[in-house]
Amino acid sequence: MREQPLKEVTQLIHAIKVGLVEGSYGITNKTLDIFKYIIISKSWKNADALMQIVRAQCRILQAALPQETVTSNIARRILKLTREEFDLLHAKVQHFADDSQASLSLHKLVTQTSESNVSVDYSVPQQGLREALLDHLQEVETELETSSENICVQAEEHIHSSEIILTLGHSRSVENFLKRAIKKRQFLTIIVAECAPACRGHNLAASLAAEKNVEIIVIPDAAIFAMMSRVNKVIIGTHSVLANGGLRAACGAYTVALAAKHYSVPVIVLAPMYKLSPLHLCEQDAFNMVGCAEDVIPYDSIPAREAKVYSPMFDYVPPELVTLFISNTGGHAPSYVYRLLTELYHPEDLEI
Amino acid sequence: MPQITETGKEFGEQESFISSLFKLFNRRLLADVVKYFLQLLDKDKDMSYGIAAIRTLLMILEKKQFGTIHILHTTMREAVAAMRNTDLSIAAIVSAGELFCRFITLSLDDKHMEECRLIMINRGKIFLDKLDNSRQVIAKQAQRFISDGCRILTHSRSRVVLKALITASQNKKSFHVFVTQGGTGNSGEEMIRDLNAAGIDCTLILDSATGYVMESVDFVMVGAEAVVESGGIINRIGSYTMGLCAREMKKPFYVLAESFKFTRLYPLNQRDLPNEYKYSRKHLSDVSKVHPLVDYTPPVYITLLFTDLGILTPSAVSDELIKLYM
Amino acid sequence: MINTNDQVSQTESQTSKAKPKKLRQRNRPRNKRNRVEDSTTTTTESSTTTESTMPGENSQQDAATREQVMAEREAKKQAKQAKKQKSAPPATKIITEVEQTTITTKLTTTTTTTARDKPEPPAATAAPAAPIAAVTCTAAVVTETGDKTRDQIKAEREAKKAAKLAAKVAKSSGAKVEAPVQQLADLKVTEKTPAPSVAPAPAADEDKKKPALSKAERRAIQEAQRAAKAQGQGQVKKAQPAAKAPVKSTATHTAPKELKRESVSPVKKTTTASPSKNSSGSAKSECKVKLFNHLVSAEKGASLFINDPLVHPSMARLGVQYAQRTVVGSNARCIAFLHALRQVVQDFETPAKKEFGRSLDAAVQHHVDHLHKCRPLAVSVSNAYKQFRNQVTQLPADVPEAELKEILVHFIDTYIENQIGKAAQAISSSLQEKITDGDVLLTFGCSSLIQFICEEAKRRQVAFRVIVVDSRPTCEGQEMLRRLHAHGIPCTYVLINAVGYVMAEATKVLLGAHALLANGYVMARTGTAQVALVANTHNVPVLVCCETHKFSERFQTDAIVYNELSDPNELVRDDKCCLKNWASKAHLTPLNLNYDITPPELVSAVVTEVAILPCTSVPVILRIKPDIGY
Repeated sequence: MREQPLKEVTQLIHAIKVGLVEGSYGITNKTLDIFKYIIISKSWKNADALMQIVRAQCRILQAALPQETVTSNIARRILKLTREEFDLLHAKVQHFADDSQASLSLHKLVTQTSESNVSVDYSVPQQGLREALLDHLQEVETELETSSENICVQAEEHIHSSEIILTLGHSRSVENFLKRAIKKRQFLTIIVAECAPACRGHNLAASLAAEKNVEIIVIPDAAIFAMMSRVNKVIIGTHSVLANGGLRAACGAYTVALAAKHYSVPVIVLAPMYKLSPLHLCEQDAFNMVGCAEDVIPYDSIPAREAKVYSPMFDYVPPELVTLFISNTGGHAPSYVYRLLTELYHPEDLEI
Repeated sequence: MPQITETGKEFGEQESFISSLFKLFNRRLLADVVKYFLQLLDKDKDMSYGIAAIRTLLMILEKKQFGTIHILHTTMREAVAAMRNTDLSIAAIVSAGELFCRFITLSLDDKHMEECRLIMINRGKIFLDKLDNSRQVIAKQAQRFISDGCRILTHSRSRVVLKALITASQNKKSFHVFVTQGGTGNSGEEMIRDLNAAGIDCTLILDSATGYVMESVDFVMVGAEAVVESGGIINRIGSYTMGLCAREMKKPFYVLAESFKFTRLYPLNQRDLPNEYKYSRKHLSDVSKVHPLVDYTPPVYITLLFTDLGILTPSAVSDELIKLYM
Repeated sequence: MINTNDQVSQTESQTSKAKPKKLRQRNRPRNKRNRVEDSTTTTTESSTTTESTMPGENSQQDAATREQVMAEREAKKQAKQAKKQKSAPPATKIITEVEQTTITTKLTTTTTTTARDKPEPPAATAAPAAPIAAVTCTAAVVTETGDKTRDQIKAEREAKKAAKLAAKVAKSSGAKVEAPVQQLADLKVTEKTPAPSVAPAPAADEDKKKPALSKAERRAIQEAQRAAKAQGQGQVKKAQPAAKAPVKSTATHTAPKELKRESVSPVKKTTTASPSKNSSGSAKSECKVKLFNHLVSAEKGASLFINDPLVHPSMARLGVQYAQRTVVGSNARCIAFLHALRQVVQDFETPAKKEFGRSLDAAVQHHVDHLHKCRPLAVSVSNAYKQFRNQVTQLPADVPEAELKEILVHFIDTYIENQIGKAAQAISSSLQEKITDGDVLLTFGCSSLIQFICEEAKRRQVAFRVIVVDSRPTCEGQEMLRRLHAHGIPCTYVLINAVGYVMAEATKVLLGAHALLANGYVMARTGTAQVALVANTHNVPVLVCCETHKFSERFQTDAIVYNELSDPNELVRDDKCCLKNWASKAHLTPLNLNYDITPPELVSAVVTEVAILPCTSVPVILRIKPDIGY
């Protein structure tokens, strides 16, 4: 069954592909707007219908942008919200002490009574669902807006004075985090690896250089291992966080994490909650994508005619190389990511 | 009729009389239990020991009348002990039995015995249904990780792994499987036979060739007899070595285990594993000359666990168990 | 004498014809080319004169004296010409020039980087000015007569003030000479940027107009002083190369025109933006330098390449090639060095009453020091030099010079053939067994040895392919790609951040090395350690191919203890890059490291011509190496 995309969804896909909307935050915001629009304006009679619409649009977005997992993450959040609000309004299911309503667990397996064996029927029309959803959605929006700030306030706890920090490329979260740290701490040295071929590290360096009381050193990617012996901390951003606690980060992050492991330097990853995705690293084809190779070697050079040139965008960083995740809800170990996922998303929504 | 309290404690002097009567009654019961258990396993070769144990316990619940919950508990425990004595995989039986007991007696309100019993039977049936399907669920989850042209290493014979591989092959994927002999017995050959029957390419290798083969495989997939609280597994001897090699060669190590295999054990090392798990009953008196049947693989060597509750990291197992037993 | 015979004769003729030649020059049409040429020829003149006064003897004191005399004479001549050109008080000029050139030549002869406290403070003051002065004068002779732009005058004044202050400062403390010296040098050198001739002009006028410090000059001098105070020794070091730059620019040499032009451009690149920013410039480099304070920076003065009369032209050319990275790569540098050395040996003339061996040794030492200043010596080069020295000390006595030269030249040729040529063949043949059909070799950067191995494998018609990993800013991998492509080897090309992406396909990693350290660490181009690290994670064996002549007795545990820094501006991509004005941003520094150190646990094997060894067996080879012979 081919689902028809909404006009807004098509526009969003186009905007993302063309580059008008870029960065995870921007995409998340726009996607949230679309779903809000769906909730407000679309005619849906019951929770089930709404969830169908959301699922359909999410599938379309996923198919169009397989790497942008934030779209499906937000869709899953919406679905979970819908279920929650519906249940609250129904006040049917007895909630147990913890939130095991949402999660499959041994406990749940073991304690199900015969009534609760029947899954909740979402197709019953429910009064006040729309308003409740919009309220809750407001909360989600606020959370989204303040996610950056919430991460930054933790800067003080993790960075002390006279530290040498290494970072890679240009991440919005890392930039704000470091700026906050610079304000609060003295004599920081920040080493920025430029992350060729886009060299976005230069942007970060230029932006940080405007601050006082900090020393910025820009190094080429090749010097990461050489400098690592002097680095105190590695702070990087990521594109998304996978279900096992691993990362899908900018290409080059794997090398940074490996070098940090070699010298036992802690790797701190700044990841707001909307980047947490319940995917696993299994389909290698869909995991990575390659970008334009022109920056790597110009098309018109002679060997480039016959050589294969790759410019991959992402890198997989296994969870054992990551020391700490800092998200807007606080700090977490990579082994705890599974728990965050169960709190964020409903298990039935893992496969949209 | 003595009052039934929540804990099922009986009153006073009648207790001793009934319990002694009960004990006489029990010996026969237990013999029946074991017979039923073995019958179940005979009939269906594919049934896991844990499931068979649960079925047996359910049968007891259905067939017998119990005065008190306390008696019920005791009977169940004794039944489990009897099944353990059959010298089959004790870990699965213990964990399944434990879980079943917990399951049926959990948060029973102040109701009549009969009502309780009906509730428990109901729950038991639901539980069993869910668990029957668990292998299916696990196999489905493992599909995404088996890609075309991949090379898989597995240890001896595991029905869950077999099911996962057969499902993958039915989904038109072609891959190659290396199967270790699995020590004494011919479980390795049985696995090869089953795989060949399903049309899957496979090779039988010596247990000692695990290190040699490891650099050329893509990942390791094993079953488990029990999943312990630390997130590690108890599995046929040789699994620990395989886990060590896999970690050294940076290959993922996947464990396929149903949820009823979760048990509240926490071994610290190989020595810390109880002897009943490691040796068959007849050798328990003198273990110095015998080699164990199972070993313990710590969670640090395991990449992911595929269970019917979802794909879990080893640290999530402890979470599950805590939720259950607290 | 180090100079060629022809040069010596030319010197004589030139000296004798100095006057009329200059007169002729005066009437030639003025254009940029002539100006440059003229400065060259005039500098040539003076250099040859000074050269002729300096026989290549060991005693530098004698040289100084003789030089002094000749320099004075030369200065006088130049003064006279300048007088004819401009109506300037000749007297002061001549005197100052004499003093200046004296100090100049003194300074030239001492090639080591020691603080110079010459006896005559005023002379010392004028010293920096002097070199410029001499060049200036001669150049000024041919510049537009009397037409000085306002800028020129200002600059001249500034320079003079700075020089004067330097004198005062020199009186107080020796080290501080450097500050204004550098200040002055930078001034001068910066002035050179508009046009080569304009720069010397101000200095000339500086001699004539001594009084009143202008505001700018005062400020500049103050800043320089402050900087000097703040940075102490660090400043001294930095000032040294820069100071020597103007110093050397006075002394003349026989470098061809092109060299001068080439050297002017590096000046433009390496000097800081403007005189006023000098102190801040040095303060800036302190920023990054906190971590790399001990490493030699890439700052080089222009005149490093223009002058030294003791340096053979082929060596001077080599120096420029090193500094400008025209000749890169361990083997290439070594071979180039040995070729130049052979030339030097062949052209060497033992000075009277001196022993061939010792005098040659000293001369070669001087050359090697010069090369080291252009770019820190490669391990292969210093090893070759050591071997050469050994050979020189072992020369038999009582053998005619020609035969000794024969021996040395033969030694050099054998060294190249055995240590580099045959070693490469041996390494290649031992590796050929390891390269089989279906192999995917991964290599990093550009290594002549790896290229040789791949070519050999291709010749044997092995079906393999190569993945070339490259990194900014040098992008040497493109060169490797080009070479491999020319031999028809199928290649893949990625940047180093994608090495995790391609490593899964690779079956072997082949790396070249700059040197192998005695504790088993591999010193190679920056990025090699990263490639080895990722290879280890993917269980891909790492083979380092290294000839034994690159084995070093040094110990080093990480890449920061010793390294070479190159031009940070290479990191700036293009005009639109955010780093474009990094110099103007106070705390921003690009860092361009040349080498990094790979720990031995990441390397599976080192392939040498002697054997395939584990990385930890380097000291074994060093121990048995003398027995291997050449």
